[in-house]
Amino acid sequence: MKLGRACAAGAVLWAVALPLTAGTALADETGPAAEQPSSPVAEQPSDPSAEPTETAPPSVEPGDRVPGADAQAQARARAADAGAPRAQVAVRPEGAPETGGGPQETGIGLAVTGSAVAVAAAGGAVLVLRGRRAGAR
Amino acid sequence: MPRSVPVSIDVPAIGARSSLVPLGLNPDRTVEVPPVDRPMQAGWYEHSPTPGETGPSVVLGHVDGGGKDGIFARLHELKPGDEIRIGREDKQVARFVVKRTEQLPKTDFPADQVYGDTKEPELRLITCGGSFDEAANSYRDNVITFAVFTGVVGASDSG
Repeated sequence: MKLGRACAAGAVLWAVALPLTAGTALADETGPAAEQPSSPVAEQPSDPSAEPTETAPPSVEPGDRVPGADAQAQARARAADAGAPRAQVAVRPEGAPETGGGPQETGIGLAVTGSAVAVAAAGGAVLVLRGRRAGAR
Repeated sequence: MPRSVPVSIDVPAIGARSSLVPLGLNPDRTVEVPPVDRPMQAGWYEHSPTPGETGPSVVLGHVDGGGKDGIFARLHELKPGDEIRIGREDKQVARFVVKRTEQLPKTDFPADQVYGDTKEPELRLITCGGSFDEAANSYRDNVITFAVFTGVVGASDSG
């Protein structure tokens, strides 16, 4: 009987003491992690129930942030595209404007005009000479 | 100013006065110019802002053509402060003053300066200049006047 009571008492003590020792062990294990950059959440490593919530945010947050940020960035880009002002010159021409006829055009024009005048003058002179000759005869 | 198509140009300092015809793009995507056999005719590039709207409004004219001087034969004489008046379809006359006039090689045409966005209404007058390249049948340079908007002068008396 005494042995049974002793065993029962030992079991109760063990059951009561186990969480305390587990907490100590966890605190020892998280010691190196505490050397990482501290944060308000990381300063509570001894609470076993906090472990999942402590580790979950880092694994969830990036996952949540990246797609969320991408979506927001894409939405902003779409809005910017939709609302982006167009260029003030709607269609930009290529090259340089050709806004000159050219001086040789002037030269050609003068040459043609001069030739025509010369031909007319020569023809007139011939006619006058023929008329005089006819008159002389 | 709200959008209104320009109908005339008057540049007293060089005695240039003309109605304005709309100009678009040639098939090769260069800018159209007024008919060379009508060298005194100026034109407005219809894909640019109308004069008085924010942005660079572009007006083109020949330096010569058909053996005669063109509307912008004396464009190179424009100096800072000279006045340019543009009559608009809404009977308003937009007044600009010359900021600078440049002569630049066509091979180095300053497209960004001419066609790039501006904060205020501005005006560009463009013609040809420099020596004539016989082989290319083209002037080697462009003369470009950059002008800034100063206000509305009143009802249009031309165009």
